[in-house]
Amino acid sequence: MDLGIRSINCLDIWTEENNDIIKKWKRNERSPEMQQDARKRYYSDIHKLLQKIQGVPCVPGSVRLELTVLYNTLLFALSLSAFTEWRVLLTHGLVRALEAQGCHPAGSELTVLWQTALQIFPGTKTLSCLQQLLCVQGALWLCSDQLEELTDILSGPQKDVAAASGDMLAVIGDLRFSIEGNTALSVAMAPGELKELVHICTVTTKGVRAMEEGKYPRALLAFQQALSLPAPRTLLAQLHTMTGICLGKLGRTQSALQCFRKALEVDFGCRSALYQSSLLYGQLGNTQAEMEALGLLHAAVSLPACGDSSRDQPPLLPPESLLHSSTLTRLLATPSPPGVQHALAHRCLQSHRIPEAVEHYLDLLTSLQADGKLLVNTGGSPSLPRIPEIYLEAAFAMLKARRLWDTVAICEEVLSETVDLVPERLVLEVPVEEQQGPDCATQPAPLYGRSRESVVERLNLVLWTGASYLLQGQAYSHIKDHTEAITHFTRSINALLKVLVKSKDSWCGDPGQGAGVKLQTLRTLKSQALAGRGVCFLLTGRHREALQDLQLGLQASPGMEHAELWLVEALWQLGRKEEAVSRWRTRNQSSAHTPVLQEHKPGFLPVYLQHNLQNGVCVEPEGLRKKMEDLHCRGAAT
Amino acid sequence: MSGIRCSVKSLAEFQASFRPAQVIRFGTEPEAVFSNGTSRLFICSSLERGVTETRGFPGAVTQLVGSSDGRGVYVLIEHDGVYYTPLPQSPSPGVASSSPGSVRVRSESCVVRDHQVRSFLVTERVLVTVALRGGSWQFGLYEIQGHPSPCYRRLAELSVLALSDAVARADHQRAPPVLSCVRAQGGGGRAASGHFLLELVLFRLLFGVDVSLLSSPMILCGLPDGRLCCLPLLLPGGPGVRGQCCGVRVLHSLEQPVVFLGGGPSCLVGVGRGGALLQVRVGEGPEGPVLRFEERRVPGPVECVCISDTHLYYSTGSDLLALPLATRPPSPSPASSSPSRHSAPLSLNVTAVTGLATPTQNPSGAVQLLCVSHKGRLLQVMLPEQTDRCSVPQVSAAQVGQRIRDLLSSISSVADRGSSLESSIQTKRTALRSLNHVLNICSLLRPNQHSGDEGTTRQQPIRCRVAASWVSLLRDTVLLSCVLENSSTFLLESGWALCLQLAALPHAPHTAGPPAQTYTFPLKALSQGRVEVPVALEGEGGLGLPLTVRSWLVYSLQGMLGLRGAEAAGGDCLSLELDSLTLDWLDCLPLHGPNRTFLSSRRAGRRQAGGVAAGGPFAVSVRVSSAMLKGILGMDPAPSSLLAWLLSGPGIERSRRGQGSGGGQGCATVCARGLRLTAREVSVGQVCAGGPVCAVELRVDSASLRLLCGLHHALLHRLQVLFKEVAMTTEPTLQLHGQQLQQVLLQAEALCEEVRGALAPAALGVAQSESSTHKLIKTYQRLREGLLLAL
Repeated sequence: MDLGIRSINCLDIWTEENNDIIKKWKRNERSPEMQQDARKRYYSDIHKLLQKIQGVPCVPGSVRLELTVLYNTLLFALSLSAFTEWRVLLTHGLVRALEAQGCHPAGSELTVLWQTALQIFPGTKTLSCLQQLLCVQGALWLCSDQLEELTDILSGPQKDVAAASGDMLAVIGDLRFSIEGNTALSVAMAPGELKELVHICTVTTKGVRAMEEGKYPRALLAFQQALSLPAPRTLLAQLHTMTGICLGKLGRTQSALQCFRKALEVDFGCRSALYQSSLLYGQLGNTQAEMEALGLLHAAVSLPACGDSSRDQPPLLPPESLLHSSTLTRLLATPSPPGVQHALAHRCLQSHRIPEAVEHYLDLLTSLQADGKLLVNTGGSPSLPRIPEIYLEAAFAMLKARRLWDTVAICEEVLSETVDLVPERLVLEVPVEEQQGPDCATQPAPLYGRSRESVVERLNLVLWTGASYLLQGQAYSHIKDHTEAITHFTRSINALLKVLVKSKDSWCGDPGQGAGVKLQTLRTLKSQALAGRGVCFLLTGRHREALQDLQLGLQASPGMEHAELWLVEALWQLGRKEEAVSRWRTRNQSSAHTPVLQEHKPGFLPVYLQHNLQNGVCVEPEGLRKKMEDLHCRGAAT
Repeated sequence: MSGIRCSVKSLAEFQASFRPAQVIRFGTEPEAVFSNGTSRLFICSSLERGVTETRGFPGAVTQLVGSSDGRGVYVLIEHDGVYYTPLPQSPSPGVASSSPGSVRVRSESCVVRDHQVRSFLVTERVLVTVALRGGSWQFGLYEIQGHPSPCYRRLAELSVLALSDAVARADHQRAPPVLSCVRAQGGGGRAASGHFLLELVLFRLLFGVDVSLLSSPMILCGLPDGRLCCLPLLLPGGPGVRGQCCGVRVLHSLEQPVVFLGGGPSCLVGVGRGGALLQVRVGEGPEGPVLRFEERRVPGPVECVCISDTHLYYSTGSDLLALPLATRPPSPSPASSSPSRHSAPLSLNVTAVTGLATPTQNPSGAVQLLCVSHKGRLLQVMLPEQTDRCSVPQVSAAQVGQRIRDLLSSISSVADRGSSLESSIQTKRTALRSLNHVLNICSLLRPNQHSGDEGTTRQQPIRCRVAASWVSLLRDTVLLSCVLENSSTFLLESGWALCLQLAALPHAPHTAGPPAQTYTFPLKALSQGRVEVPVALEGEGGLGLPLTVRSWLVYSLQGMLGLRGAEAAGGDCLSLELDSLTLDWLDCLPLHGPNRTFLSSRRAGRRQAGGVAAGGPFAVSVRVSSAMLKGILGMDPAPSSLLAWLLSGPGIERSRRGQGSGGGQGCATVCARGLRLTAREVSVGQVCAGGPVCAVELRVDSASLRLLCGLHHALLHRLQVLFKEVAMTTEPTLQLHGQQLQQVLLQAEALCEEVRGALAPAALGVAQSESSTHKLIKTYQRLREGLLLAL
């Protein structure tokens, strides 16, 4: 081709320049290195070209070229999340295009411009350029959370473009782009592809908004509509997951599980589906399935290479770039690897799979201590419980597995952190929620604000210390080292007695709240420590102290089966046989409903204190049952 | 307390530094790395050698952090990102070159590319950045990868909302957030810059048991809005310490931009720009250990801070201060807490410090601080050992007296040195100013020196006009009056001199006597630039006419340096030629009265000038054809015009057009003492073929032969000069009579013979007789009488 002739026409030069940039981009699109930098370069190239084109007045012949270059520029801007300039760029571009057509728009409002532009351009070719720009506009509005604006445009006076309903979705859905597109002018992303992406993302955003407002049926409809559209693999899996979550909220658990399964079929790396199904199984009480799901999730998060589906190069506009919703992020979040491991370990412990629980807890503690990068504070994902709680749970799992020295060691770790911070005295006078006023009197440090938080934290310290000593005491009593056990139980009691609760009733009012749970925990801890010490006293022959401790323990928290048994034993040993028998009788009568009562509220006490798990932790008095039953039979006989 | 005297040593000097100057001190080679707010990073391989290497970055360096292994340094570039550059490890043994090497750091070394990063911190495996983005402070955690690696992987991002009014203020003040890393004591870790160890109890109380159980370092951040935030580095899932859902917790607010956050083992210290000082310690509360937040004010503004175990060192820009940090927690009874309990900061009397490195302590206990000063110096400040113990040294009265005397003497010597330096600077300044002035004048006069024969009519801004007048006191003298005209904007100050050189013409008949005389007049002494020079025309040292008068402006370079006495030493002079002219008899005719007025009043010279004597026995005449005067010289052929032109005086460009209006015909006469100069129209026949030629005859009659000769010579000379110019351009048009010319030639040859004959005795050494002299005079007269006709 003759260079001289080519260089005469600016339009041709610019067209070629545009095509060159796009060709280069397409060639390097999949190359792995420096994606972000490369995109920045292409963006700046194409932006420069646009500026060049806009340096001369727009004429009808150059409208298509200019609109296409603008389309490409905005696409790169979108992929870089550089949203600052787009409004100016678009307004400017539209005004120029309109002016080339001899039309001087009344205002610079984007909606007005669009309405005018869509009306005024008759030629199909120019209109298709305009329509592909409209898709970018849709994407941009989606990104900047301005869905309403697009609806506004399309509900304008032009009836031939807008659907009768004025629904932007319909309009965008109705846009038709020929497959081969415009061969003369290259584009970074086919407008058809973009249209589909914008369409599905808009529908999804609507669904997420409906979920935010709690309108699950509407959200469900939106997600189902989105699922009917072509979508990338990862987005499809997310849509299935969201549908599942909606169904779960609506109580259609089986359908929900079906959806999660579909999500996993579409994209095996969809962790949120796994996590959500584990949560749902947990709700349904299907421990086996829940553990399986958690196990899979754990495998997925520990092997990032296979689980992470976003490893291959992202396209120019991944769906995530158009879906900026904190709700969506929150709904699809999965716990960090330690979080998953903890959930797994916790469930194992709760369902009495002690060896597995021990294994998971040990792994978890190792990973927590490993000082590794994976542990870096990652902000948003669902949270782990407090670290001392994890330690105590682990110690309890060890205790149940009869790894007694491990229990002692783990508790020692917690104690080393907490003991010197335990307050001398902690007065809880009124409900914690209203503690600002009176608390000032007890907190003389002038700058020490956040009193409520500090009180709760001090209570936590007491509880952790008490629990650690308690678990150590229990471990020692299993070793039959009764003096050591008595020492630790005593320490536990001493620590726990530092909390002085004055108006109990207001605390007991709502056991579901954190403070209420804490007081319940305090009481349970106290009673278990007292009972434990009582048993040790009894076994070392100090019957009177044993009786006193056991009685105090039962008073603090009635319904501990093994403490009742030991109380009977203590009475028996003290020679108060009649009392023992009557105790035995009342216990037998109440035992029918007590465990059921415990089963009703398993969740709110720490796992290491839950009654249904305590079996096997406490030493049953040998031969008591037989003794009692004999006596009981005799008594019944007589 | 007035302060402490400490020794300050300047280690390196570079250009002046700007606000974010920073210095890091390493224990090993290289010893220090510092920046001064420019795009350069300076590396001192050892403090003694000064800057040994510089690194250039693509933008302004705003922060420096040493890598955890000490092998490199991370650098924050404004509006760019975080760069890593390895440091030279072992000193190359043969390095003798004193000039520091300069290396350009390329953009490939960028490890975190984020143009909004305001500040960052490096721990062993994680790099933490703070950026202000979208109305919130965002903390980015990046995994440090082995080098070389293109970019660090982002592990997590946490954020805390910025206070809306503080965003604008922070932008305005450009105060970056301050990051530091705090660990519990005994958990390992290093004491690098930005890393601090805290007592276990304090650490746990501040940050919670969870962080302590995980032995996670805490990242502290002091924001420009005054808030002190903390976030645990290693806390999976971000449960938040104490049950908060967000990973970043606000500890406290200083309500002014935070410049420092760190601490010693027993307290956490935060310092605000305005001088707010927060110390957090463990106190014994009624219910066990509690945190005590003590806030107080120190004199601000605080520019930069560093901390040792016992002291807080900070610079206010005008002074460097050391504040002792109480090692004991304050007394448990709150009643006794009063501001006076706090020890006041001690002045170290070092000004303009903009950057401080972590202090080091040498084995003897002296504290050493490394600072970057505002003037652009790397300073090493050695504190006396006593300050470390926060006590005034105990010295005897005699020692005090001695010290005071030492101090006084050193003060006076410093003052002396100061004043001498000041005066020398003053001299230099004056010299530079006058040099500038001189150069200006030089450039003004430069075209003058090249104009040469162009005969420019353009007025030079500085000129010397020479006028001559006849003075007859004891003997005949010509008085030259030179006027220096300065129309330029520059004043000719002292140091300039006007130099006049009077020299006889090379082919002048008087060859006796000195060839030239030079006069120099310092301009300062001239009143209004006028100077009068008497020139003796006779006798010893007398110069004969005609004379060349050249004038220069001379400037003595030594005078410029204030060495007035050495002006005469010569040599080091700058001379600018002003004007040069030839002075002949015509210029200094002993006329009566101002000759120009005289001439103009005597139209056609019909009246005899009433002089003492007009005319005399001797006469010479020269004839010039009127056609020539008119056509070729473009002059009015009237005799009066010619006369006026001849007498128009020296110094100014002689006007070719006669100023006489040319009304007169016939004859014009000028009389002077003993002399008459007459011009009249004559008609000369037999010369040209075309008939008689109209000419103007110039005739000189005088009683003095000397005067006559001189005047004749002057007339001829003037005409010659003119004709020479004209001859080059025009062709003579007249047809000359060959016979007449031959006759003239013969006459001349005969006269020449006579002269030779008369001169022969003189040449043979025979004393000249009266007769031969008379003969010569007669010949001379005949030679000059009526023969010469210029056509």
